[in-house]
Amino acid sequence: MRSNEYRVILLAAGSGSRMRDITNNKPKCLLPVGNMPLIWYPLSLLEREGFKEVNVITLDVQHAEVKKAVDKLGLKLDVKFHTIRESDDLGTADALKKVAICGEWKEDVIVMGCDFITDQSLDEMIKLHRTTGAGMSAFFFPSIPESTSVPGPKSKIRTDRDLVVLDKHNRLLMLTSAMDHDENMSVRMRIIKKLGRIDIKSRLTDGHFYILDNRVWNFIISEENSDMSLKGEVLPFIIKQQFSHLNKVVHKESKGELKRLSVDIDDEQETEETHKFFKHFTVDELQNLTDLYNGYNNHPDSSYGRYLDDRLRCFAIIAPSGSSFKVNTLASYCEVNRQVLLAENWERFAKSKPLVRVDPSCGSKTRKIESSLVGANTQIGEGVKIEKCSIGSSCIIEQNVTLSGCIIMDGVTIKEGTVLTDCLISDKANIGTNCNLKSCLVDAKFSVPSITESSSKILSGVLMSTE
Amino acid sequence: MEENPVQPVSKSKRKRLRKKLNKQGPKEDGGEAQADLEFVPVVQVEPPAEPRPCLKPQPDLEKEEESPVKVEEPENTQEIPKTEQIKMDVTKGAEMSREEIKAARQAKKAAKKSKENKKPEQKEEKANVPKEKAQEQAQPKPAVVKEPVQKAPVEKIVEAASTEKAVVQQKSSKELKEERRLKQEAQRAAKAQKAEQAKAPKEKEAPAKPVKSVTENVNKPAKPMLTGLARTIAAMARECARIDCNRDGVHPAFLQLEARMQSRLLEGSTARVVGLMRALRSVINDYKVPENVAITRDLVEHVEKQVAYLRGRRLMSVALDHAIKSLRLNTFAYDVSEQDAKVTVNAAIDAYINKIEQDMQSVALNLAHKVKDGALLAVYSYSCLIMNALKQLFKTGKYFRVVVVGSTTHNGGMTMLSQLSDLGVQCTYLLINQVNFIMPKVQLVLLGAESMLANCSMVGPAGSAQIACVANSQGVPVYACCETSKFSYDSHQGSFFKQNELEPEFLAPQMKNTPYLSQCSLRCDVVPERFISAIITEVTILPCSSVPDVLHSPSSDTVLKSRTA
Repeated sequence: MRSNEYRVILLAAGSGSRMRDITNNKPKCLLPVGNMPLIWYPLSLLEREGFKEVNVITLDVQHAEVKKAVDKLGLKLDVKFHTIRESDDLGTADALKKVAICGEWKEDVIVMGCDFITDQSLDEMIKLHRTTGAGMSAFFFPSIPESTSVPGPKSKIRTDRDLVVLDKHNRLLMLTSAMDHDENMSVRMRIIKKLGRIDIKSRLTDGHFYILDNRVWNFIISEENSDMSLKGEVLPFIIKQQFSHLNKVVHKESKGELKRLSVDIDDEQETEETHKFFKHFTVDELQNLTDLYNGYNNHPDSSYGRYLDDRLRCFAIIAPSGSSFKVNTLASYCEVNRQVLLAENWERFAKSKPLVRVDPSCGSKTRKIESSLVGANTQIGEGVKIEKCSIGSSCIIEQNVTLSGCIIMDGVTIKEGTVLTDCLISDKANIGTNCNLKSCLVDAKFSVPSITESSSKILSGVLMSTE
Repeated sequence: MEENPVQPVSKSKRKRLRKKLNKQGPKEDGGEAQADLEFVPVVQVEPPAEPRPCLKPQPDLEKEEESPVKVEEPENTQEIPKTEQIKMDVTKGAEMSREEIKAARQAKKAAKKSKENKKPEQKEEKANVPKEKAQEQAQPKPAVVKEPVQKAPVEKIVEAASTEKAVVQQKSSKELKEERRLKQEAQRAAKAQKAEQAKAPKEKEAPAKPVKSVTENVNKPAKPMLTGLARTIAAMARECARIDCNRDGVHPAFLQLEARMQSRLLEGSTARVVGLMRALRSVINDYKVPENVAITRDLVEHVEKQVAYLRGRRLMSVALDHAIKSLRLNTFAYDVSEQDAKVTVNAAIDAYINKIEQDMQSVALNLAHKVKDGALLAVYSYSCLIMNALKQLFKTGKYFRVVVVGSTTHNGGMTMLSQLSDLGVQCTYLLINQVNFIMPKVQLVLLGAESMLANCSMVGPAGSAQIACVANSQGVPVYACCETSKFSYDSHQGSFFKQNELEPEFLAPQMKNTPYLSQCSLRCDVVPERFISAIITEVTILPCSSVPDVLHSPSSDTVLKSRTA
């Protein structure tokens, strides 16, 4: 149904640099969330919304693994893989250009990250994009609270916040990282003059979900675009172009005035790039005429017309709190794992799939399992207490183990009498008898010796950077 | 998504509401509700004494739409689901043409007869109902029922059906007899074998709904049953909310057009026509003829698919219909090449856009005759036709002042105001509730029409009728501005007609789930003929009564105006 309307690109080549501790052995897109690989969430969202085809970008070294995992999911989507070489160290914009080589697209394009989990309807987002006639729509949602507890050492976590500047209609005026502005952030007078009032939000997370107009897409993949990163460079550039003098709607009768308008340019150094950008925005006479005759005006109090007479408009789609997650930090990863354990949340995020608490293959010995998820072929011994945990498949949990608030990936062995609280145990780790771990992170394949007592530590064989 | 950019009006409105409430100080729920209602132009509150059982369960709705009954319906009746038609007599009766009324009357008589014949049997059946059930049936009887007796529900439906013309309208008495016979058979069958009821054809089932299923509904928690206008509104709202319209093969340009029209970001019929032309251009340019198919046939079908989508969302208006027909897609030669066809269509689109612009200029010239120097004009909401005319007038050096009337639900007035004041015209702005005191000073009221109807009334943005009425009562002439391409063969008297659209959201959103409240705000208004002094068209200034003459005149492009299906 949607296939003729939008092309979708799923970025799954991210290395997970903000959560290196758990992604050094596993592609980020395959991290388990609610015992499903992360990539399943965006894919099932797309499937639900009637998309037929998805383009997934992966790293060449991870391609086989990701492909195998995706095939196992049994989705009705036609998933097309595009690989990029890890050694090239390409930016997102470059990766998009790789996809674009495969053919010319006339449709608008949706670019989304594989770490995006939402319960919002794509339909609504797309409708907003359409009604506003936006050149680019970006999806934002309130950030998760910073106090979220994270296994591992309690270092001061520096989160890179975004500063999102919006007007009252949620038009996106600026998008920068707070890191770039240590002390002050300047907003151009022209923006304030034009809009009268702007809001600067610092507690919004960018969902890395962008709907791009075909014209904007053509710019991104064109030769003229030399920037590498979509989020860091290309999008801020596009957003900035909204305030270019070339962005004016040129009506037939006012063509003479164009010259006058171009007098008040304040940043000449960018004009060449700007011209290159607006080359992709051909004049659409009928659209201009429609706007001219249109009785709707969202800025009735200003002397400008609708949408301030701009051809290129960027909008933010803002979701309510708790509706979406961007799994790119350890904190958000733990938080989302906690969230999906609740039945009502599971239903929100994984609408089509029924919640199977304990896989039937786990046998039925006396045990106490509360609001947890247990994967297939996991053996659970007698007298085990499990509370608010998600446990992967093929794990062995021996008797009298107590687990609460843990995330345990596949193939983990936990020996007798161990107590784990708020821990994150990576694949195939081995934990000895009578350990007592609190808020610890156990690296993949690492064996924790028996009777270890530890809290807020990273237990691993190699010395690793702790961000 | 509360902070959504598309509906700025509602957000600010909500804020305003909240402010007002705060001023008034905290009140009880009831008080708050009162305060909300003050802002609501059309809010119908159902009396709480209504909890009658639903005669027909809601889930049946879908099924019935597919039932064979639908086939019997005359093609140009409304698309409102069948169940809703039953209660729509008041509003729908208004828009019946004379023949239809006649037919309906005949049908009514016939139906009455049939009812009389049936009565004894009905009683029999009622007697068969177990006592308990009969009691249950009687219990939820509303305190104020217009019908003297609460008859068996079966009969009630029959009665409702008989007063309702839509179903019976085109059935001769012969057919009615046939139907009655079938119905009786069905009743017998129902008694004998309740299991087989479901299989019985819907046509029979509708009137002869077995008593049992009705009593079953009584057992459900009493749902307030909407009646009359409220029901019509609910039906319209439901239909608007339905997204079942087939989206396969609909071009994104049309999806966008639909989204913008639906959420009121594209207002005014001329803007919509141009928007449609733009969408059509992208459709045509992206079009590829499938192999082994004649382009003439396929292209028409392809475009029709797009248009059907808009029609399904109740967004097609006369002006849009006219625009599509003007392209004459079906007149291509059989062997025309794809390239030639595209060029021809694009040329036709350009020609039509040119014609729109020319018509606007002509209207401006005609209007100039009617505006005296120093006149005070009143305009309501936004109309690009009037805007253009006033612009031309101002450029010729005529001095006039304008009272711009706006409303809270549409910001067209504001658009008009800002554009006029940009020009340098002296303006006054007020809301529609204050129009009474300014009217004596006004010399001329100008209304931009969405369409002119065959019964000489005008369709304009909601509120037009009110302005016209006030002007009329104070002897101020009202001129409707309308191109002849917007003249329509339809005739409606009430505002509840097929092409009219509902507001996308509720006026009192915080009371959305109140069961006794049905909210409705329509986009268009029908202004009766007697309120309008003249129509200013691109041809000339006409009296209202000559709309049919224009429609029938051989000189106008009547081919294009052939009755819309």
